[in-house]
Amino acid sequence: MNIKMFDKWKLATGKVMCSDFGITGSGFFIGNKFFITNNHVVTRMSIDETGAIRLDYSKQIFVKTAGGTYDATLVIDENSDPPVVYDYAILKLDVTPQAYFDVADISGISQGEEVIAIGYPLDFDEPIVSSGVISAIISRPSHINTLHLIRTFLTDTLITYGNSGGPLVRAIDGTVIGITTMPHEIRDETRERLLKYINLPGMEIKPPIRDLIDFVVRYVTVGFNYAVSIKYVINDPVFKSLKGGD
Amino acid sequence: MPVFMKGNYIFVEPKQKCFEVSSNFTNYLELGIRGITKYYLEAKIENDEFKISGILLDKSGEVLCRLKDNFIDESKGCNKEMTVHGYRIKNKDGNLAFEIHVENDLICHLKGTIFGESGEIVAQEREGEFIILKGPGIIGKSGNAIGIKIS
Repeated sequence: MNIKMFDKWKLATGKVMCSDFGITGSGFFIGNKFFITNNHVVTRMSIDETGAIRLDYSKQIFVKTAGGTYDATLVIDENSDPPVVYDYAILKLDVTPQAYFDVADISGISQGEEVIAIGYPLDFDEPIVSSGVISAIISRPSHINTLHLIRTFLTDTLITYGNSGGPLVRAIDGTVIGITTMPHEIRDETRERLLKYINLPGMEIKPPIRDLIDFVVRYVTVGFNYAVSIKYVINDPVFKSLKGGD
Repeated sequence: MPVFMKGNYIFVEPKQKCFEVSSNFTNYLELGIRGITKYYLEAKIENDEFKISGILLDKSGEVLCRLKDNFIDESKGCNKEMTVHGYRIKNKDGNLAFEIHVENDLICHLKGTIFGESGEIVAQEREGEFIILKGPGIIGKSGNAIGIKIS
């Protein structure tokens, strides 16, 4: 690993901005055709009165890269479930990237391997790099639907709000193994109680206390974070069909 | 002579992931025969994940959709809705054809109506129970061992 590799990785990463939803996240180029991010970065979810999940895709997606800011077009089928369940989106930008990531051979990934995350967390306007190891390779329930399990890399690499959609990269060769997604939440009785308190109808909580609870629930994590396996992207029929030609 | 069985655990133990079928708990359900009957449904637990595959027909016996591991592989006018605990498949009139609902991450309930090729009801949710009305079918499977075979 050297400085030139970092420079290349930063060129292959971008900031995703959905101006109609007011959401920002991260993303990255795979090959010179596709830009990948998390599905939850480009969608807005609601649950209707029958319990059905409704998703709206952003119609105003922009990606800021080192070369400029570009319109992005969604190329996955908006009615397809796998991108939603496995939390990925495939975009196309009208630009040839200055650099891109190759996809790792997922079967060769080992627990303990050094990995690097790149993204645009919090209010940073430039790519931020963090590093760690693969703490475990796990299956966890989908964020959207508990029926499905997602193959996920658990890592101690710093991943926080805004990192969503960025690449998790093998340090040894710079190939991408996953899409950085979210922190592993602390699930214990105290957290559950705090969440219950602020959502109780009629509960009077003074605004500073409500803000404090919100802040604690949002930002206090144990330090483990998730990256969804990149295998879901490369198995997507749209990715497969467009990869061969254009 | 009909036989009624309730509360049995077929190839599963209490507190393990299972499907509830006619008030029994099992690791596997097969309705119809793959490649033989026009309809087919297979519900299994693979790598700790509930997976439903098959061919669903509408009440006229026409193919409504093909499912593969919970995802629509081929749609003939059906609509799939995800819910927080599963999904629903609705026919083109917007009526429920089939539903999966996972309770407490452990028990997978099947709902809706499974039709045969003549429009006969093969299985149906009635008063909260998913009742099998017609064979062939299999409830419970482990390797080559079969729990209950319905002729």
